Amino acid sequence: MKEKLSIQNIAQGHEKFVLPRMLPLIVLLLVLISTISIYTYFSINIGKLEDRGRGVAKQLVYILRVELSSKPYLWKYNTAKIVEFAKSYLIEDRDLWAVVVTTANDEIIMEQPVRRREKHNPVIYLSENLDLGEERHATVWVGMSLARVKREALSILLPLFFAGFSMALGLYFYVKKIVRDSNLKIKSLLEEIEEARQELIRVNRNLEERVEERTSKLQEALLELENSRNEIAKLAAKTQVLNEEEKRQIARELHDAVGQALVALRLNLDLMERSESSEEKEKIKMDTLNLIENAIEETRRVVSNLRPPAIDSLGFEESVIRLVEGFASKSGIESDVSINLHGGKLSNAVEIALYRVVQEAMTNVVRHSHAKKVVVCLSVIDSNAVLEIVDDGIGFDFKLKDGFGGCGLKGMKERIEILGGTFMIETKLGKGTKILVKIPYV
Amino acid sequence: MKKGVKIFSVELTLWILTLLIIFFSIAVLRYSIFKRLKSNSAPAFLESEKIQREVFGKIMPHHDIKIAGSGSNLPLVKVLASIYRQINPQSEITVYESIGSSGGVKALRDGVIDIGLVSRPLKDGEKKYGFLEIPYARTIAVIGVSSDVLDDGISTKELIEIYSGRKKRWRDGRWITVFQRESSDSTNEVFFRFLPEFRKANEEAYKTHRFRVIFTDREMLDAINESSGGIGPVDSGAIVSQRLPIKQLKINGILPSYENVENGLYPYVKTLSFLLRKDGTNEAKEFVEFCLSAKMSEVILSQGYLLPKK
Repeated sequence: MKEKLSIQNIAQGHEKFVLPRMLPLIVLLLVLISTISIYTYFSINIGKLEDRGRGVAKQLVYILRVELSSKPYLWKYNTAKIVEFAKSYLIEDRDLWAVVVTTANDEIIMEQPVRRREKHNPVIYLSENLDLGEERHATVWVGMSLARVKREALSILLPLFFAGFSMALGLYFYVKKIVRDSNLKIKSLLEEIEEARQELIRVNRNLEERVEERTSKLQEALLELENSRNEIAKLAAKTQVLNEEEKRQIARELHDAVGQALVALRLNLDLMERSESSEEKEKIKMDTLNLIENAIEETRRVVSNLRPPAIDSLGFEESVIRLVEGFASKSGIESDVSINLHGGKLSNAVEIALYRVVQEAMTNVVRHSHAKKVVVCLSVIDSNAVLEIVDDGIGFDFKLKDGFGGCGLKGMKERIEILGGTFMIETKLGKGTKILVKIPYV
Repeated sequence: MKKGVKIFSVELTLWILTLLIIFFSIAVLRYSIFKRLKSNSAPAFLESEKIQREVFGKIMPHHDIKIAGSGSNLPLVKVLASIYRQINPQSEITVYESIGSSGGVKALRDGVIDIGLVSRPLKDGEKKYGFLEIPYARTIAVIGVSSDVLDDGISTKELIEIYSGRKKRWRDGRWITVFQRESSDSTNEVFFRFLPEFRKANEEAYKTHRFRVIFTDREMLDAINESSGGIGPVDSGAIVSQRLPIKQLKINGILPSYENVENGLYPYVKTLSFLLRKDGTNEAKEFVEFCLSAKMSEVILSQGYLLPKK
């Protein structure tokens, strides 16, 4: 197949195919022009000779008829003179070979000049009868020589051969040129086709690569989606667990704090009812009041654990500033807090999550980092709230700390991811720690 | 390999077709030419070397005399025949119009006439018939001109110039109307014998149709007589015997007269002869003898002819 499509092969193939087939045509042309033209010339001239010969014979018959009428007895003995007269005035033909007058009995009565047919000089004889009434008196034979025609035909053979040869040669080269031009065009077309084919192959290859790439990306995306789904499922499960845990914790704390206090209050009230002394009643009363105080305090603590009360009282931004500054003042670490929400309002869940992250992070800074300065920056970029907490502390080995497993990092991460955010930590021993939280704030 | 064989076959086929076309084209053309040549080939009797005209015609017994031949003889022979008829009223003698010396020979050969008239010596081909050649008179070949021509004489140089087309006017400025006889004419032959340049000029004029060619003596005489400034070779005897107003020019100052011929100054003379077959009739021989008689010699001389040399 490749061999067939080879441009060179096709071009050469055309030349090899067409040109050898041209040769018979060229030879035919050469022969037809040179030979048949001569035959045609010869044939036409024979026709002319015949016409002329016949014309001469008719002229002579006409003159002889006059002679026959004026000399009915001796007319035929004057034919030589009549023929000479006719030749001098009427017959001017260089091809006139001989004039013969015969009687009805084929007896020659005049022959001028006396000539016999020569082998190499063919002579054609044209005849005309001299009839008077129904009687035939004579027949005039006019011999026309073909020598001149033959000579002229041969003399044009060479020019005609050259003409035929030139035409044949011209035709050959013309066809050759056409074939070559065609070959060049075919070659050019084939080259274009080849280029187009290569381009098509290249495009196909690119397309395949792109499809492969897209497929790969799609698969990755699908995988990622699957992972995200799994993650979401996990988070949902975790959220459920956390919710359940939080509910249990609240129930336990309510049971432990409020429930115990209420039981003690009931017992104290029973004791007061049964007590008879006022002192004892007073004592029980005081104890009861203490219990109530404790219960209130405990209730406040529990509620505080559920939602930082500062947020409600101070607002999110101020509560965060207070939180950081509180830690800083207790630990003596320099702090720098910058919050700029550009008037945006975070959801409650986001505010609590960010507050808890700041709280937990600051706890870690104070407890573990030995930092001198901590910078907390909260801003809004696009539709995300971005929180950065950077300290210049000793940092830690992320792997040795079991990743997000220690220092409440896992809790922080889970809390953020439940809300669709990302939690990242950058740290290295001796190089401080940077926590970066990004969370959709709407 | 298979492909190669296929291509070779196509080429071979093309070559075969080409050769066939060439072969058949040439064959058809050759055949058509051959057919035409064949249809126009010479009849068999023309190819035969046995020429029938050389066979003598038989003379059937008869008593009348038929005379024919050269036109130069006719004026004189007609006079002689007329006298013969007067002397021999029972005789039947016919003098036919000119058929030329050659025609006379052939007619005699064929036996259709009894006496042939010639005005030139017999050719080799005619001598073999064995005819009896009997000279009976001579006539002077002259350059005759129309009566309106003032010139009396002409030089041979001028004659040649006239027939060469170089001289076109007479001395008085009149145009020369030239007439010439066919080359084989006996009067012409007389001049040719002595003036080869005149022959050359004549033949050239004949080929180029420079002048009108006259084929009989009678017509030549009429042509000169009736034209203005006309000139042509004629017989003196014919002019005299018919009393025609045609001037006979001196040639190189020599008058074409009996005396000048006899003393050899004027050489242009031709002999008139009778031809008889050896098996000819007695009547014919008697007429010839009559013409050769002394009485008829006088008649001959009186008609402007000369007697033959003895």
